[in-house]
Amino acid sequence: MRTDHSRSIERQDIRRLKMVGVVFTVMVLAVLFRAFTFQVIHREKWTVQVESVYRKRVPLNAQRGMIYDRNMTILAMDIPVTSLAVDPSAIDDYESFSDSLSRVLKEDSDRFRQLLKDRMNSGFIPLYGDLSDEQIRRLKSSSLKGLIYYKERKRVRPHGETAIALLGITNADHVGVGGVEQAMNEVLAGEDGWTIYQKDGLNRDFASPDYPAFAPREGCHLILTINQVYQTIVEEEVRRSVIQHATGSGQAVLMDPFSGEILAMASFQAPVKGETPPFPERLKNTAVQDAFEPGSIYKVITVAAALEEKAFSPQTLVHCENGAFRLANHTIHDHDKAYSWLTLSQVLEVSSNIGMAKVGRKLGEKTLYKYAQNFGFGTTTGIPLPGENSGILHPLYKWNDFTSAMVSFGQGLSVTGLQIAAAMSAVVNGGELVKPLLVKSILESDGKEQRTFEWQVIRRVISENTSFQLVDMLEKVVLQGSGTNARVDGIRVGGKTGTAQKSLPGYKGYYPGAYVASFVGFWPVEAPRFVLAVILDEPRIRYWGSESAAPLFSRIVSRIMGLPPSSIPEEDKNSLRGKAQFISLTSSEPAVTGEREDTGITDSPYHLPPLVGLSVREALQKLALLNVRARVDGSGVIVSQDPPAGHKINDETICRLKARSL
Amino acid sequence: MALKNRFELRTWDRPLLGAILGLMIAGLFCLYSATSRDGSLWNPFNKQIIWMLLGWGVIIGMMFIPTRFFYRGAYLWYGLSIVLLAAVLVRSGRGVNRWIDLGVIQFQPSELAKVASILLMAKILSEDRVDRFNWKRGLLAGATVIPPMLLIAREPDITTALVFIPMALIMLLWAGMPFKWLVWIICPALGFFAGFVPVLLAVLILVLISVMVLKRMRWVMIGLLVGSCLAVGLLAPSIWSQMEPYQQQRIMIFLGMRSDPHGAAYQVIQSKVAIGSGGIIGKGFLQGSQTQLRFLPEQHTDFIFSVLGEEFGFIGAALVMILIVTLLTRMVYIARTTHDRFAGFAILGGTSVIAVQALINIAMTVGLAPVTGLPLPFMSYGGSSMIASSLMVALAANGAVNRFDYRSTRI
Repeated sequence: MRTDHSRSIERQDIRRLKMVGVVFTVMVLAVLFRAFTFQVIHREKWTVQVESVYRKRVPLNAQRGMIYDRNMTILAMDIPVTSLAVDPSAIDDYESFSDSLSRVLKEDSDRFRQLLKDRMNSGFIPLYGDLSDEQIRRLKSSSLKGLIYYKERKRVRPHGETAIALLGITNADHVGVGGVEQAMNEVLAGEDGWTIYQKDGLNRDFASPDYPAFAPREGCHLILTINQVYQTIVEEEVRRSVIQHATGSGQAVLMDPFSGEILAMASFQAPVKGETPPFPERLKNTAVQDAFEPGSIYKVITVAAALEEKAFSPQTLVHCENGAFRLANHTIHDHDKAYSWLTLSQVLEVSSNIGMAKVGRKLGEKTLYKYAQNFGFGTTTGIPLPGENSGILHPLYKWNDFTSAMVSFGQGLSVTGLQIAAAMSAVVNGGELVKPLLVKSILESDGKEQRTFEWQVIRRVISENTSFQLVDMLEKVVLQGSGTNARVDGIRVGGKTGTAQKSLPGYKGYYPGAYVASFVGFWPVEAPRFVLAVILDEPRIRYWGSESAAPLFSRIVSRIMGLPPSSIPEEDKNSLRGKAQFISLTSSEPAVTGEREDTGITDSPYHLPPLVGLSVREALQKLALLNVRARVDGSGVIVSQDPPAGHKINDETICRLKARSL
Repeated sequence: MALKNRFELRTWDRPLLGAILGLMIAGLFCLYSATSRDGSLWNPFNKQIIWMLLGWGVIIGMMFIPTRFFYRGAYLWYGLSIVLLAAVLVRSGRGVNRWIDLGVIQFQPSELAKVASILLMAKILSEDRVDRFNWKRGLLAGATVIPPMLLIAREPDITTALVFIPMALIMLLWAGMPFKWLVWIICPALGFFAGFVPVLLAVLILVLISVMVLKRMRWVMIGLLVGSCLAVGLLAPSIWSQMEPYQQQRIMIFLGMRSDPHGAAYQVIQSKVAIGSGGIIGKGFLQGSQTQLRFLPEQHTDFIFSVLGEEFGFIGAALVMILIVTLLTRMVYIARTTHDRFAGFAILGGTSVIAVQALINIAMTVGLAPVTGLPLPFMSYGGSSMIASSLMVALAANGAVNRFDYRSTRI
């Protein structure tokens, strides 16, 4: 029975099975044929198709280079941040979305509403940059849909607004705006590369090794000549002076007179009605972008010309016409006193306009013009900063008798702070005009040095002898002349004050009450290492350079050299020994013994030298050369030092010295 | 005696078991390639090895189980699978849920429901000792697939539910169902698609009526057929709107009504590219860029055949097809030659499920079928599918061994 049955199944159903089998076989063959056409016949087509449809060209952003100061302190760098965008197709109602988003991010919802409103049919709307970890956490735990997180880079300046006018910023496209960022943008930005990405079903991008990729050329790093510490000091002090003297703006340029390296460059715009100026204003680097009539500080150049041309010696007598000198229908006055016979040196000390006009007259306009040109006025220095102003030096054919008299005491031409600092450098460095350097070197992205900028002498302007004479005369200006407020206890400084009249647009002649107070000086006198020009534009309280700019100079020098602030006694201007208020330090450390002095590291630039037994001035000088700040207790001869000789110097080193009069 | 036979390897069906082993090994190669970046201990590759061992346990174990065990338990298995399917629906509430979570492992009751339905249909169809097709019994057998289909469709997993239709049809055809009964399936299906265009539906109905009148069919039949066709056609738009958007999209893309190179069609194009770029001999094991860079979606489950095509080329793909065809023909052979009518039906049911799944899966990877979630038996990663496929071939292995058992009787 069973056998019959199974046989009958076979008999009856074999036909049916065959029919099903035929259908199945046809299907299998169809699939096989399809695979065959794909894999053997049309292989190329599929390889090409994927490239045209799913290839996505993705730029590989080059990393923007870092900006360092001369001690490799980071001034500007890129950091990766997570930003938020939204896919509007996932949002039903942008208003409620904006409200919930603003609650999560704790931001104003109008902003998101505005961003979303007009672009609801685009695919990607960037909403918020640089999310904090906390914000990301809250966003991820929220029920908001369509959020897209993407990586971005953000330029940060670890020191905040310090040197912002010098450095500049980057805009939304990561392109430099203002300062070094703009001037050196190509070097910093590098060159973007690109690659081909493929997208998968989840719309994620994948790098594919099957496609070519052009690696980006990463941006180079810049090492500036700036010293971040000095920059901070200079900016703080300029800001303080601007506020103290109710000045429109202030600027300062600190440079090394020999190498031409800019060590600090500050521009500060006074707050208008208590509000910090907006960004474009704060990015303005007045030290290179604004020209002003230099006034008395320019007398240094006139004197340099007079000495160099051997028309005068420092002792040559000049008659100062008792305070009023009529020249070409104009009358020139001296500031306060009426002088008669003064030596050239004294003319500079008291800053007599009449004396200078007479010197200028004797030199002749051609000579004045030649020296102005040689010292670099009327031309840009070529510093890598945007918008450099060349100042105005009128061509000779426009000059008349009065012009040359004006120019000789610094009116009738305009200069920038950088030019005046560079000219002063040439005066004190032995007579060579050096090109101001801002970028010390350019490093490849991997840190290899690509290019170093060496100091570059543009021309010799005066002889060494003239330079020495001028240094001497300029110290006297500070010691006994108009610049006494620039004195710094513990270090010999020289320089010249200036109070220039300003001509303002729309006003014929000089505007009464509008002055540019300035001081340009250098230190130490023995071997000048720093030149500092400070310029205060329109101080309304104490507008004289000697009263506003000179103390500013003094404060900056004290802080840079780590000296106690100098207070200049008003009643005793000729005394160098002021009643300085030293910071009192009680040191429990024993005095340095003789053994410690024998460590044999006296000449090392990285270790503290033995200072015991030296005069305060000598000790401070040594420390200044090593860039070490100092605190002095007492005066006379050093009896103890802390840390001891041989201590390794770092940025934080402060040498505390005890001195006693012998 | 009967048991003794089962220990003799001679009695085991070597072509069948060999084809399964071959498919599993090919699957492991592809799986390793598709998931080689996953270094964890419980990565899909290691898990799949365990599932394969369990599958072999099922296949070999079932060779020692008398057929009557399945025959008698058919209603029980069926009832159990319905309960499990209902449990999935009850537990999941809203949203897609196809899984029952047992803590350590998860499994899909829909896979087990296939086996249970096959067994119950086989039992019902084989209860009649007469060779003539009993249409009442046929209808009853056909009706048994409807509850699991509806429950699975509710999950929603339409494609798995649809697999029941060819399975039931093939079993019914073998039971002797007249071929013209297929009209009852084909006409409403045509009506569904025509339903979107009223003119087309009207033309279809007219053609149907005229053909049937010419064939001198009974008016009742004509009325029923036209009625069902019309009903499906008219309901089609609302059925369509009931479908999930992704399902609509897939069907439309397959029908060429919509192209969406970045969405659903993306998977198929990536798969085609993978297979097409494999060439004749393939890019080599672990060398397929589409696979290794994860451009293939679901490459370890639904699109594992694309991995095969890319890395082992046309030769590899053809070899696997040969293995599948070997497996299926062997199963059909066993179904035909077994002495047990119940086993014959059950094996054929299993054969049809494996055949449909394998065909649709492979056809999908070369763009001949819409993208569905059907796995490739023995190759795609997944425990439930592996166990269910093993159960279905185990019926064949069991039947094959039984042919050497002369004392084996029908129950």
